[in-house]
Amino acid sequence: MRAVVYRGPYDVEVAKKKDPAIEHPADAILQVTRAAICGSDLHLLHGLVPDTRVGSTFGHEFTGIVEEVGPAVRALKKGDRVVVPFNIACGACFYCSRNLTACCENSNPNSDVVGGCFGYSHTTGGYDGGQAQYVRVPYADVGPMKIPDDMEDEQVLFLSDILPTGYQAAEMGEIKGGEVVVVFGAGPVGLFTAKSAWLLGAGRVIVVDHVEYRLDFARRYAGVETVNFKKVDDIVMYLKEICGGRGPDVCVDAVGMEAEGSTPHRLLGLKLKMEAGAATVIGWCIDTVRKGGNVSIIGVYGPPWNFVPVGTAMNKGLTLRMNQCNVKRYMPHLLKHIREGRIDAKAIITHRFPLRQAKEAYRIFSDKRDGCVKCVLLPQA
Amino acid sequence: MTLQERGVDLPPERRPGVPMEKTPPRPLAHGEHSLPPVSSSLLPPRGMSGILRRKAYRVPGHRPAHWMMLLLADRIEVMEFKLRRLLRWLLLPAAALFLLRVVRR
Repeated sequence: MRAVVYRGPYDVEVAKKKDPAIEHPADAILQVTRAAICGSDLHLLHGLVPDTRVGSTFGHEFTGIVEEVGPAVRALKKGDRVVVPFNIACGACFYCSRNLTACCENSNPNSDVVGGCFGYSHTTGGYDGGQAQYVRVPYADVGPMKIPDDMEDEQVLFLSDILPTGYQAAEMGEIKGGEVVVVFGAGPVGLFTAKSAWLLGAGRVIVVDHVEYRLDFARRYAGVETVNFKKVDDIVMYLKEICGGRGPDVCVDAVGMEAEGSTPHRLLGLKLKMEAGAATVIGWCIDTVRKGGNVSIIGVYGPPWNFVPVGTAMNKGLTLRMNQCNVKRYMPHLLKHIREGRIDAKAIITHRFPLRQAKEAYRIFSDKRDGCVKCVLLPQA
Repeated sequence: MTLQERGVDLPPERRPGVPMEKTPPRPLAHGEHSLPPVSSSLLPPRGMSGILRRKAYRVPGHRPAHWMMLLLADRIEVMEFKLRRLLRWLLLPAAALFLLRVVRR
Protein backbone atom coordinates (compact mmCIF):
# COMPACT_ATOMS: atom_id res chain seq x y z
CA MET A 1 0.00 0.00 0.00
CA ARG A 2 0.98 3.66 -0.14
CA ALA A 3 1.19 5.69 3.04
CA VAL A 4 2.47 8.96 4.44
CA VAL A 5 5.79 8.11 6.09
CA TYR A 6 7.74 10.21 8.62
CA ARG A 7 11.41 10.72 7.70
CA GLY A 8 12.48 13.22 10.37
CA PRO A 9 11.47 16.68 11.60
CA TYR A 10 9.66 18.67 8.86
CA ASP A 11 10.00 15.73 6.47
CA VAL A 12 7.26 13.35 5.38
CA GLU A 13 6.89 11.53 2.10
CA VAL A 14 4.44 9.17 0.47
CA ALA A 15 6.05 5.75 0.15
CA LYS A 16 5.22 2.08 -0.32
CA LYS A 17 4.68 0.20 2.89
CA LYS A 18 3.69 -3.32 3.93
CA ASP A 19 -0.11 -3.79 4.16
CA PRO A 20 -1.36 -3.98 7.75
CA ALA A 21 -2.50 -7.39 8.97
CA ILE A 22 -4.75 -8.74 11.73
CA GLU A 23 -2.46 -9.09 14.77
CA HIS A 24 -5.09 -9.64 17.47
CA PRO A 25 -8.46 -11.46 17.23
CA ALA A 26 -10.34 -8.19 17.89
CA ASP A 27 -8.58 -6.26 15.07
CA ALA A 28 -10.10 -5.04 11.82
CA ILE A 29 -8.40 -3.78 8.67
CA LEU A 30 -9.96 -0.74 7.00
CA GLN A 31 -9.59 0.61 3.52
CA VAL A 32 -9.26 4.30 4.31
CA THR A 33 -11.63 6.60 2.44
CA ARG A 34 -10.83 9.94 4.10
CA ALA A 35 -7.94 10.92 6.38
CA ALA A 36 -7.60 14.43 7.78
CA ILE A 37 -4.44 16.18 8.86
CA CYS A 38 -4.83 17.41 12.43
CA GLY A 39 -3.11 20.36 14.08
CA SER A 40 -1.57 17.90 16.51
CA ASP A 41 0.01 16.01 13.59
CA LEU A 42 2.11 19.15 13.17
CA HIS A 43 3.63 18.60 16.64
CA LEU A 44 4.77 15.18 15.37
CA LEU A 45 5.96 16.65 12.07
CA HIS A 46 7.96 19.27 13.91
CA GLY A 47 9.71 16.61 16.01
CA LEU A 48 8.20 17.67 19.34
CA VAL A 49 6.62 14.39 20.43
CA PRO A 50 9.06 11.94 22.05
CA ASP A 51 9.57 8.56 20.35
CA THR A 52 8.26 9.51 16.93
CA ARG A 53 10.04 6.84 14.90
CA VAL A 54 11.31 7.22 11.35
CA GLY A 55 9.03 5.18 9.11
CA SER A 56 5.85 5.70 11.12
CA THR A 57 2.56 6.79 9.55
CA PHE A 58 0.53 9.63 11.05
CA GLY A 59 -3.22 10.15 10.91
CA HIS A 60 -5.77 9.78 13.67
CA GLU A 61 -8.84 11.24 11.96
CA PHE A 62 -10.18 8.86 9.35
CA THR A 63 -13.14 7.03 7.87
CA GLY A 64 -12.96 3.76 6.02
CA ILE A 65 -14.58 0.62 4.70
CA VAL A 66 -14.05 -2.61 6.62
CA GLU A 67 -11.84 -4.87 4.54
CA GLU A 68 -11.20 -7.72 6.98
CA VAL A 69 -12.12 -8.56 10.58
CA GLY A 70 -10.45 -10.74 13.20
CA PRO A 71 -12.24 -13.84 14.57
CA ALA A 72 -13.40 -12.07 17.76
CA VAL A 73 -15.05 -9.11 16.00
CA ARG A 74 -18.85 -9.24 16.22
CA ALA A 75 -20.11 -5.72 15.50
CA LEU A 76 -18.48 -5.14 12.11
CA LYS A 77 -18.39 -7.00 8.83
CA LYS A 78 -16.65 -6.56 5.51
CA GLY A 79 -18.06 -3.59 3.62
CA ASP A 80 -19.27 -1.56 6.62
CA ARG A 81 -18.47 2.15 6.43
CA VAL A 82 -17.09 3.44 9.72
CA VAL A 83 -15.64 6.49 11.42
CA VAL A 84 -12.98 5.68 14.01
CA PRO A 85 -12.14 7.58 17.24
CA PHE A 86 -8.48 8.53 17.55
CA ASN A 87 -8.32 6.76 20.92
CA ILE A 88 -7.63 3.03 20.87
CA ALA A 89 -9.67 1.71 23.77
CA CYS A 90 -10.63 -1.73 25.06
CA GLY A 91 -14.02 -0.53 26.33
CA ALA A 92 -13.85 -2.64 29.48
CA CYS A 93 -10.94 -1.61 31.73
CA PHE A 94 -11.09 0.60 34.84
CA TYR A 95 -10.93 3.80 32.75
CA CYS A 96 -13.04 2.72 29.77
CA SER A 97 -15.82 1.64 32.12
CA ARG A 98 -15.82 5.23 33.41
CA ASN A 99 -16.01 6.62 29.86
CA LEU A 100 -12.38 7.76 30.01
CA THR A 101 -11.37 5.95 26.82
CA ALA A 102 -8.39 8.30 26.34
CA CYS A 103 -6.89 6.69 29.45
CA CYS A 104 -7.45 3.04 28.44
CA GLU A 105 -4.96 0.84 30.24
CA ASN A 106 -4.97 -2.01 27.74
CA SER A 107 -3.97 -0.22 24.54
CA ASN A 108 -0.61 1.35 25.29
CA PRO A 109 2.07 -0.80 26.90
CA ASN A 110 4.64 1.99 26.42
CA SER A 111 3.27 4.51 28.91
CA ASP A 112 0.96 4.80 31.87
CA VAL A 113 0.39 8.50 31.11
CA VAL A 114 -1.80 8.09 28.04
CA GLY A 115 -3.82 5.40 26.26
CA GLY A 116 -3.22 4.20 22.72
CA CYS A 117 -3.79 6.50 19.73
CA PHE A 118 -3.59 6.00 16.00
CA GLY A 119 -0.51 7.42 14.30
CA TYR A 120 0.82 9.37 17.23
CA SER A 121 4.32 8.07 18.04
CA HIS A 122 5.40 5.09 20.12
CA THR A 123 4.65 7.16 23.23
CA THR A 124 0.99 6.41 22.50
CA GLY A 125 1.57 2.81 21.50
CA GLY A 126 3.31 2.94 18.11
CA TYR A 127 0.23 2.16 16.02
CA ASP A 128 0.25 3.34 12.42
CA GLY A 129 -2.30 5.97 11.52
CA GLY A 130 -4.85 6.41 8.78
CA GLN A 131 -2.93 8.58 6.32
CA ALA A 132 -2.53 5.47 4.21
CA GLN A 133 -4.58 3.26 1.94
CA TYR A 134 -5.18 0.73 4.73
CA VAL A 135 -5.03 0.80 8.51
CA ARG A 136 -5.20 -1.72 11.34
CA VAL A 137 -7.89 -0.92 13.91
CA PRO A 138 -7.49 -2.73 17.26
CA TYR A 139 -10.57 -3.40 19.44
CA ALA A 140 -12.73 -3.03 16.35
CA ASP A 141 -15.94 -3.76 18.25
CA VAL A 142 -15.32 -0.84 20.61
CA GLY A 143 -14.19 2.30 18.77
CA PRO A 144 -15.54 2.42 15.21
CA MET A 145 -19.02 3.81 14.65
CA LYS A 146 -20.97 2.74 11.58
CA ILE A 147 -21.77 5.68 9.31
CA PRO A 148 -25.52 5.95 8.68
CA ASP A 149 -26.43 5.07 5.08
CA ASP A 150 -27.83 8.51 4.38
CA MET A 151 -24.67 10.32 5.45
CA GLU A 152 -21.43 10.99 3.60
CA ASP A 153 -18.03 10.18 5.05
CA GLU A 154 -17.03 13.85 5.23
CA GLN A 155 -20.13 14.79 7.22
CA VAL A 156 -18.99 12.55 10.09
CA LEU A 157 -15.22 12.45 9.55
CA PHE A 158 -14.55 14.90 12.37
CA LEU A 159 -16.42 12.77 14.90
CA SER A 160 -13.08 10.94 14.98
CA ASP A 161 -11.38 13.75 16.88
CA ILE A 162 -11.74 17.50 16.48
CA LEU A 163 -15.49 17.84 16.91
CA PRO A 164 -15.69 15.80 20.16
CA THR A 165 -12.43 17.46 21.24
CA GLY A 166 -13.92 20.92 20.79
CA TYR A 167 -17.12 19.83 22.50
CA GLN A 168 -15.26 18.33 25.45
CA ALA A 169 -13.20 21.53 25.73
CA ALA A 170 -16.42 23.55 26.09
CA GLU A 171 -17.93 20.96 28.42
CA MET A 172 -14.88 21.09 30.70
CA GLY A 173 -15.52 24.84 30.97
CA GLU A 174 -18.67 23.85 32.89
CA ILE A 175 -20.88 26.26 30.97
CA LYS A 176 -24.31 26.42 32.55
CA GLY A 177 -25.83 29.36 30.71
CA GLY A 178 -24.87 32.95 29.98
CA GLU A 179 -21.12 32.67 30.59
CA VAL A 180 -18.47 34.65 28.76
CA VAL A 181 -16.15 32.17 27.07
CA VAL A 182 -12.77 33.02 25.56
CA VAL A 183 -11.33 30.44 23.19
CA PHE A 184 -7.63 30.79 22.41
CA GLY A 185 -6.93 29.40 18.93
CA ALA A 186 -9.03 29.75 15.78
CA GLY A 187 -7.94 26.43 14.32
CA PRO A 188 -10.39 23.58 13.73
CA VAL A 189 -10.59 22.62 17.42
CA GLY A 190 -11.07 26.25 18.45
CA LEU A 191 -13.89 26.61 15.90
CA PHE A 192 -15.69 23.54 17.23
CA THR A 193 -15.11 24.69 20.81
CA ALA A 194 -16.77 28.00 19.98
CA LYS A 195 -19.70 26.24 18.28
CA SER A 196 -20.06 23.90 21.25
CA ALA A 197 -19.91 26.79 23.74
CA TRP A 198 -22.96 28.30 22.02
CA LEU A 199 -24.71 24.91 22.08
CA LEU A 200 -24.06 24.60 25.80
CA GLY A 201 -25.57 28.02 26.47
CA ALA A 202 -22.69 30.52 26.54
CA GLY A 203 -23.75 34.15 26.54
CA ARG A 204 -20.74 35.52 24.71
CA VAL A 205 -17.92 33.77 22.84
CA ILE A 206 -14.64 35.46 21.93
CA VAL A 207 -11.98 33.74 19.81
CA VAL A 208 -8.33 34.84 19.99
CA ASP A 209 -5.67 34.16 17.36
CA HIS A 210 -3.15 36.07 15.25
CA VAL A 211 -3.92 34.58 11.83
CA GLU A 212 -6.33 37.04 10.29
CA TYR A 213 -7.97 34.69 7.75
CA ARG A 214 -8.72 32.21 10.51
CA LEU A 215 -10.34 34.91 12.62
CA ASP A 216 -12.46 35.85 9.57
CA PHE A 217 -13.45 32.22 9.21
CA ALA A 218 -14.33 32.00 12.93
CA ARG A 219 -16.60 35.04 12.66
CA ARG A 220 -18.40 33.55 9.65
CA TYR A 221 -18.51 29.94 10.82
CA ALA A 222 -19.17 30.29 14.54
CA GLY A 223 -20.65 33.79 14.85
CA VAL A 224 -18.12 34.85 17.46
CA GLU A 225 -16.29 38.04 18.37
CA THR A 226 -12.60 37.86 17.53
CA VAL A 227 -9.38 39.43 18.78
CA ASN A 228 -6.02 39.42 17.02
CA PHE A 229 -3.58 39.30 19.94
CA LYS A 230 -0.83 40.83 17.82
CA LYS A 231 -2.94 43.95 17.35
CA VAL A 232 -3.40 44.71 21.04
CA ASP A 233 -0.78 45.81 23.57
CA ASP A 234 -1.44 43.21 26.21
CA ILE A 235 -3.92 40.44 25.42
CA VAL A 236 -4.65 39.65 29.08
CA MET A 237 -5.45 43.25 29.99
CA TYR A 238 -7.44 43.73 26.79
CA LEU A 239 -9.64 40.69 27.40
CA LYS A 240 -10.23 41.66 31.02
CA GLU A 241 -11.20 45.13 29.90
CA ILE A 242 -13.74 43.95 27.31
CA CYS A 243 -15.15 41.49 29.84
CA GLY A 244 -16.21 44.10 32.38
CA GLY A 245 -12.81 44.40 34.06
CA ARG A 246 -13.20 41.10 35.85
CA GLY A 247 -12.35 38.74 32.99
CA PRO A 248 -14.25 35.95 31.26
CA ASP A 249 -15.87 33.07 33.14
CA VAL A 250 -14.21 30.40 31.05
CA CYS A 251 -10.95 30.30 29.10
CA VAL A 252 -10.12 27.47 26.71
CA ASP A 253 -6.65 26.61 25.45
CA ALA A 254 -7.20 25.21 21.96
CA VAL A 255 -3.64 25.90 20.84
CA GLY A 256 -1.15 23.68 22.64
CA MET A 257 2.60 23.50 22.55
CA GLU A 258 3.46 25.57 19.49
CA ALA A 259 1.80 28.81 20.53
CA GLU A 260 3.00 32.17 19.24
CA GLY A 261 2.98 35.23 21.47
CA SER A 262 5.84 34.73 23.93
CA THR A 263 9.51 34.86 22.95
CA PRO A 264 10.74 33.36 26.27
CA HIS A 265 8.34 30.40 25.99
CA ARG A 266 9.27 29.78 22.35
CA LEU A 267 12.97 29.99 23.15
CA LEU A 268 12.79 27.74 26.21
CA GLY A 269 10.23 25.30 24.86
CA LEU A 270 10.75 25.05 21.14
CA LYS A 271 14.43 25.91 20.68
CA LEU A 272 16.16 24.85 23.91
CA LYS A 273 13.69 22.07 24.83
CA MET A 274 13.82 23.12 28.48
CA GLU A 275 10.03 22.83 28.67
CA ALA A 276 7.63 20.77 26.57
CA GLY A 277 6.77 23.39 23.98
CA ALA A 278 5.50 26.92 24.58
CA ALA A 279 2.89 27.00 27.35
CA THR A 280 2.01 30.62 26.52
CA VAL A 281 -1.72 30.00 26.24
CA ILE A 282 -2.09 28.18 29.56
CA GLY A 283 -0.54 31.26 31.17
CA TRP A 284 -2.88 33.58 29.28
CA CYS A 285 -5.89 31.48 30.30
CA ILE A 286 -4.94 31.53 33.99
CA ASP A 287 -4.17 35.25 33.95
CA THR A 288 -7.27 36.24 31.96
CA VAL A 289 -10.08 34.19 33.49
CA ARG A 290 -12.00 35.71 36.39
CA LYS A 291 -11.39 34.51 39.93
CA GLY A 292 -13.21 31.23 40.57
CA GLY A 293 -13.47 30.67 36.81
CA ASN A 294 -12.72 27.63 34.72
CA VAL A 295 -9.72 26.93 32.51
CA SER A 296 -10.11 24.12 30.03
CA ILE A 297 -6.97 22.77 28.38
CA ILE A 298 -7.44 20.73 25.22
CA GLY A 299 -4.28 21.86 23.41
CA VAL A 300 -1.63 19.15 23.32
CA TYR A 301 1.51 19.43 25.45
CA GLY A 302 4.35 16.95 25.65
CA PRO A 303 6.10 15.61 28.71
CA PRO A 304 7.78 16.19 31.10
CA TRP A 305 6.88 19.75 32.21
CA ASN A 306 5.92 23.34 31.34
CA PHE A 307 6.32 26.72 32.98
CA VAL A 308 2.79 27.53 34.14
CA PRO A 309 1.65 30.13 36.76
CA VAL A 310 0.15 27.64 39.21
CA GLY A 311 0.37 30.13 42.10
CA THR A 312 -1.93 32.54 40.26
CA ALA A 313 -4.38 29.72 39.55
CA MET A 314 -4.39 28.74 43.22
CA ASN A 315 -4.86 32.28 44.49
CA LYS A 316 -7.66 32.95 42.00
CA GLY A 317 -9.45 29.75 43.00
CA LEU A 318 -9.57 28.43 39.47
CA THR A 319 -10.76 25.06 38.26
CA LEU A 320 -8.34 23.63 35.71
CA ARG A 321 -9.71 20.76 33.66
CA MET A 322 -7.95 18.89 30.90
CA ASN A 323 -7.75 15.57 29.12
CA GLN A 324 -7.26 14.07 25.72
CA CYS A 325 -10.76 13.79 24.35
CA ASN A 326 -12.69 10.64 25.27
CA VAL A 327 -14.13 10.53 21.77
CA LYS A 328 -16.44 7.53 22.00
CA ARG A 329 -18.50 9.14 24.74
CA TYR A 330 -19.52 12.06 22.51
CA MET A 331 -20.07 10.37 19.16
CA PRO A 332 -23.81 9.59 19.33
CA HIS A 333 -24.69 12.99 20.79
CA LEU A 334 -22.66 14.92 18.22
CA LEU A 335 -23.94 12.77 15.35
CA LYS A 336 -27.37 14.00 16.34
CA HIS A 337 -26.20 17.62 16.27
CA ILE A 338 -24.78 17.09 12.75
CA ARG A 339 -27.88 15.27 11.53
CA GLU A 340 -30.19 17.96 12.87
CA GLY A 341 -28.14 20.71 11.26
CA ARG A 342 -26.85 22.42 14.39
CA ILE A 343 -23.23 21.70 13.40
CA ASP A 344 -21.98 21.55 9.83
CA ALA A 345 -18.69 19.82 10.51
CA LYS A 346 -17.83 19.33 6.83
CA ALA A 347 -17.92 23.10 6.23
CA ILE A 348 -14.49 23.62 7.79
CA ILE A 349 -12.76 21.56 5.08
CA THR A 350 -10.94 24.03 2.86
CA HIS A 351 -8.51 21.69 1.07
CA ARG A 352 -8.66 18.18 -0.32
CA PHE A 353 -5.62 16.35 -1.71
CA PRO A 354 -5.00 12.87 -3.10
CA LEU A 355 -2.66 10.90 -0.81
CA ARG A 356 0.26 11.31 -3.22
CA GLN A 357 0.20 15.08 -2.53
CA ALA A 358 0.32 14.66 1.23
CA LYS A 359 3.69 16.42 1.50
CA GLU A 360 2.23 19.52 -0.14
CA ALA A 361 -0.88 19.27 2.07
CA TYR A 362 1.30 19.22 5.19
CA ARG A 363 3.26 22.22 3.93
CA ILE A 364 0.16 24.32 3.27
CA PHE A 365 -1.46 23.37 6.57
CA SER A 366 1.73 23.87 8.60
CA ASP A 367 2.54 27.25 7.01
CA LYS A 368 -1.13 28.38 7.23
CA ARG A 369 -1.07 29.33 3.54
CA ASP A 370 -3.84 29.63 0.98
CA GLY A 371 -6.58 30.23 3.56
CA CYS A 372 -6.15 26.69 4.87
CA VAL A 373 -8.32 25.71 7.82
CA LYS A 374 -8.55 21.93 7.38
CA CYS A 375 -6.89 19.51 4.96
CA VAL A 376 -8.35 16.15 4.05
CA LEU A 377 -6.46 13.41 2.18
CA LEU A 378 -8.17 11.06 -0.25
CA PRO A 379 -6.19 7.82 -0.01
CA GLN A 380 -8.04 6.02 -2.80
CA ALA A 381 -7.88 8.87 -5.34
CA MET B 1 -23.65 34.07 45.29
CA THR B 2 -22.63 30.52 46.10
CA LEU B 3 -20.62 28.06 44.12
CA GLN B 4 -23.49 26.13 42.64
CA GLU B 5 -23.57 22.36 42.63
CA ARG B 6 -20.20 21.88 44.17
CA GLY B 7 -18.82 20.71 47.49
CA VAL B 8 -20.84 22.00 50.43
CA ASP B 9 -23.40 23.64 48.09
CA LEU B 10 -24.50 20.28 46.75
CA PRO B 11 -27.80 18.93 48.08
CA PRO B 12 -26.99 16.86 51.21
CA GLU B 13 -27.67 13.51 49.55
CA ARG B 14 -25.07 14.25 46.87
CA ARG B 15 -22.27 15.50 49.13
CA PRO B 16 -19.13 13.38 48.98
CA GLY B 17 -19.16 12.97 52.77
CA VAL B 18 -22.50 11.16 52.75
CA PRO B 19 -21.88 7.42 53.18
CA MET B 20 -21.93 5.76 49.80
CA GLU B 21 -20.85 2.32 50.96
CA LYS B 22 -22.74 -0.47 49.32
CA THR B 23 -24.14 -3.28 51.46
CA PRO B 24 -22.50 -5.67 51.57
CA PRO B 25 -19.25 -3.82 50.76
CA ARG B 26 -18.20 -4.72 47.24
CA PRO B 27 -14.78 -3.88 45.86
CA LEU B 28 -14.71 -2.27 42.42
CA ALA B 29 -15.01 -4.74 39.60
CA HIS B 30 -11.67 -3.53 38.24
CA GLY B 31 -10.09 -6.15 36.01
CA GLU B 32 -13.05 -8.49 35.99
CA HIS B 33 -14.04 -7.75 32.42
CA SER B 34 -10.62 -6.85 31.15
CA LEU B 35 -9.75 -7.77 27.59
CA PRO B 36 -6.33 -8.96 26.51
CA PRO B 37 -4.12 -5.91 25.97
CA VAL B 38 -3.19 -4.92 22.41
CA SER B 39 0.11 -3.57 21.18
CA SER B 40 1.93 -2.65 18.01
CA SER B 41 4.83 -4.61 16.61
CA LEU B 42 5.80 -1.89 14.14
CA LEU B 43 9.27 -0.33 13.98
CA PRO B 44 11.03 -2.10 16.86
CA PRO B 45 14.03 -0.21 18.29
CA ARG B 46 17.32 -0.77 16.46
CA GLY B 47 20.77 0.77 16.14
CA MET B 48 22.14 3.35 18.54
CA SER B 49 18.74 5.01 18.87
CA GLY B 50 17.26 1.63 19.73
CA ILE B 51 19.76 1.08 22.55
CA LEU B 52 18.86 4.50 23.95
CA ARG B 53 15.12 3.87 23.59
CA ARG B 54 15.36 0.56 25.43
CA LYS B 55 17.30 2.33 28.18
CA ALA B 56 14.68 5.13 28.27
CA TYR B 57 11.82 2.67 28.75
CA ARG B 58 13.59 1.23 31.81
CA VAL B 59 13.23 4.67 33.45
CA PRO B 60 9.69 5.49 34.69
CA GLY B 61 7.75 8.18 32.85
CA HIS B 62 7.64 10.64 35.74
CA ARG B 63 11.41 11.16 35.50
CA PRO B 64 12.56 13.73 32.92
CA ALA B 65 15.44 11.42 31.92
CA HIS B 66 12.87 9.08 30.31
CA TRP B 67 11.65 11.77 27.92
CA MET B 68 15.03 13.40 27.32
CA MET B 69 16.50 10.05 26.27
CA LEU B 70 13.55 9.45 23.93
CA LEU B 71 13.92 12.88 22.32
CA LEU B 72 17.66 12.33 21.91
CA ALA B 73 17.00 8.90 20.41
CA ASP B 74 14.61 10.51 17.91
CA ARG B 75 17.36 12.82 16.68
CA ILE B 76 19.92 10.00 16.54
CA GLU B 77 17.49 7.84 14.57
CA VAL B 78 17.04 10.56 11.95
CA MET B 79 20.83 10.77 11.57
CA GLU B 80 21.04 6.97 11.30
CA PHE B 81 18.32 7.01 8.65
CA LYS B 82 20.07 9.73 6.63
CA LEU B 83 23.40 7.92 6.90
CA ARG B 84 21.82 4.67 5.70
CA ARG B 85 20.20 6.48 2.79
CA LEU B 86 23.50 8.14 1.87
CA LEU B 87 25.35 4.83 2.03
CA ARG B 88 22.73 3.28 -0.23
CA TRP B 89 23.25 6.09 -2.75
CA LEU B 90 27.04 5.76 -2.52
CA LEU B 91 26.93 2.01 -2.82
CA LEU B 92 25.54 2.08 -6.37
CA PRO B 93 28.28 4.21 -7.96
CA ALA B 94 30.88 2.34 -5.91
CA ALA B 95 29.61 -0.98 -7.22
CA ALA B 96 29.49 0.38 -10.77
CA LEU B 97 33.07 1.67 -10.46
CA PHE B 98 34.22 -1.67 -9.09
CA LEU B 99 32.60 -3.57 -11.96
CA LEU B 100 34.12 -1.18 -14.49
CA ARG B 101 37.58 -1.79 -13.05
CA VAL B 102 37.09 -5.54 -13.12
CA VAL B 103 35.96 -5.41 -16.76
CA ARG B 104 38.92 -3.20 -17.77
CA ARG B 105 41.39 -5.62 -16.24
